[in-house]
Amino acid sequence: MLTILILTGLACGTLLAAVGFILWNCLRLVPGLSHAVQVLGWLAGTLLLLGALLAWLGHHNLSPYAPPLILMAALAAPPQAHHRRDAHWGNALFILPALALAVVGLFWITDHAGSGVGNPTITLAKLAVVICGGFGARALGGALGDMAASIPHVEWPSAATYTLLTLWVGSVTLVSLWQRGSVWGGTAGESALAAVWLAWSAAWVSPHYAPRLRAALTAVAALCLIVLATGYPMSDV
Amino acid sequence: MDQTSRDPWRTIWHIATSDYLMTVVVLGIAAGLAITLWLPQMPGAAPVAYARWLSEVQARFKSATPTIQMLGLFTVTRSLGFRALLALLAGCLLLRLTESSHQLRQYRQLAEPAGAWRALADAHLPAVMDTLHRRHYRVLSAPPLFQADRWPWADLFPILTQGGALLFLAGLLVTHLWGWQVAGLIAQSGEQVTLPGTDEWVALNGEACRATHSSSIVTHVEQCGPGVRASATNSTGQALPLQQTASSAPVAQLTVPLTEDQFFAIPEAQLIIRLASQPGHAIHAHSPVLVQVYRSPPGRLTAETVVEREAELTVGDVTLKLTSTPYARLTATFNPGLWPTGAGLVLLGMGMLGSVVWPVRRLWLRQETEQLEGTGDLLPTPAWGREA
Repeated sequence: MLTILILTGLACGTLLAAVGFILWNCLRLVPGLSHAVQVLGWLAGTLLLLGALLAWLGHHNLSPYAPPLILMAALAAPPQAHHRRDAHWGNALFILPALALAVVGLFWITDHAGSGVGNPTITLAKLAVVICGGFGARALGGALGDMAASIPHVEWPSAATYTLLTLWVGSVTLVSLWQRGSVWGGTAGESALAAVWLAWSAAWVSPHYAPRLRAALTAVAALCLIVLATGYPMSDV
Repeated sequence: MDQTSRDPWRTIWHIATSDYLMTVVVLGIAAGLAITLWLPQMPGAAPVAYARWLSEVQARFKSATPTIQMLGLFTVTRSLGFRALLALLAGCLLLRLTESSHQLRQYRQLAEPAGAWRALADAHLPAVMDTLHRRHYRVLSAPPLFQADRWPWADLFPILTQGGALLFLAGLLVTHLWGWQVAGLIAQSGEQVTLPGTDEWVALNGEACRATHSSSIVTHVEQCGPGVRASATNSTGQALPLQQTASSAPVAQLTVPLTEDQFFAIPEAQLIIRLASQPGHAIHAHSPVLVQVYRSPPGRLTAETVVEREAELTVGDVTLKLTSTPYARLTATFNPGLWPTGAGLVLLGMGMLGSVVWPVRRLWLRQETEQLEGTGDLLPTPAWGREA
């Protein structure tokens, strides 16, 4: 557990340093600082990924919330392509979801609520939703940047999240239809998944000519997805 | 132009097919589902489940319970508002499907450009055409006007999405109107259970804890547990009648599922038999069963054994034969909308994924003297130069 704590702590520090560098770069343009931010982003992502793998695969007495949070932070931490372009304080918003997830994960590591490792089926289902949540966190960063600082962002994290979520929700529903003869098994996990998918669909069908609305809906859907992915051990899909 | 904009039907059509309305409706349905996560929903007709639900919500929400109930928040998915949203969604989808089908035909040929023209600085027509071809755009030309799009696939995916969603909703409606579900059905190995009020049947293969059933229903095994088939004979080999309750008819052979502790009597031998799951063992189809025999009167424990597969227990001149007969708690569903729902789901998924990968993008270019102008869904600026 100490190793996971150290890795996550280091990643939090690295992400904080990246935020600091972005803000410093806005005040006085320092050549090469944006490259340093990128390196820090990748470094934090690697540290968090190692921490998440150790937390998930090892039998540590961790809170069940910690591994999904750290894995989502690991997927959200690597920098997005636009970071190279300009020195703008809004670029820090792209890192904010990863930093928040890592800090909350760090907090939960020390909470001994029992192991999060369940039976393989539940773990696989959880992993699928957590990966969606990680991409969702990247999309959240882009949406925050768009809303707060009008920074144009790449669409792929949002598209990837929606694609994965659609595949997962579709598979779960088809399996339920095949096995039970009904679309919903009536579990809370299925309802939550459907609600998040619908929220993301609403963001996806929202008008392209209203980017702020689209970004706001994406942010709401991403937050719901992150909450769902974090609490997924309790769900029973 | 004025006449067109004042036409109320056209206005209604624009509103009904707008992205805003679709967003609001989908968000409304998502919100409805989200509410069901926080507020326990009232169960259907089962009185025991209703009583349990009522005590739970009264303990949780206290004096706010009647208000929440009055607002219909305990019956969200059965409420008129939620169903109206689904109906509105179906209506919007139908109109969008009509519009998308029309657009598929309309954009087969060069169409009227939409939106304001913008000058594209540093962009040259041959280079732009090259970029468009590399990105798999189809280019229609009537110089000086050019139309670029990804017809027909990009225009086909929204049709798949809308058609799939409509089929899915139609399947759900058929299920709701003509489908039924029986939950908590108990079936034991080797017996065939006929569902109440129907000709449908369910049988259980006890070894694998798998159900077989008539072709028009789907069954799902919720839980498997042990059960016992019991018979008793006296010293002459004559079968002794067994009785589970005072009012039940005596039978030579009794099959008992161990959903809880079970008792039966052998009145002629004045014996009471208790069957229970062996403590400390996980419950599964062939988990051991504790059998205790009491003499009545005085109600003293006379013999006990543990049944794993088969066992014989002799008490005085009575021989009790016990065979493991697993039971399963099943849910049986008759879903006439199964195929439309499944097909709709597949089409919906294909359409949505296709739209994500291959979205509808349509742009027009025109060469005015030396200046290239564009309108519609123009590509990002670096793709062909700088916009003026």
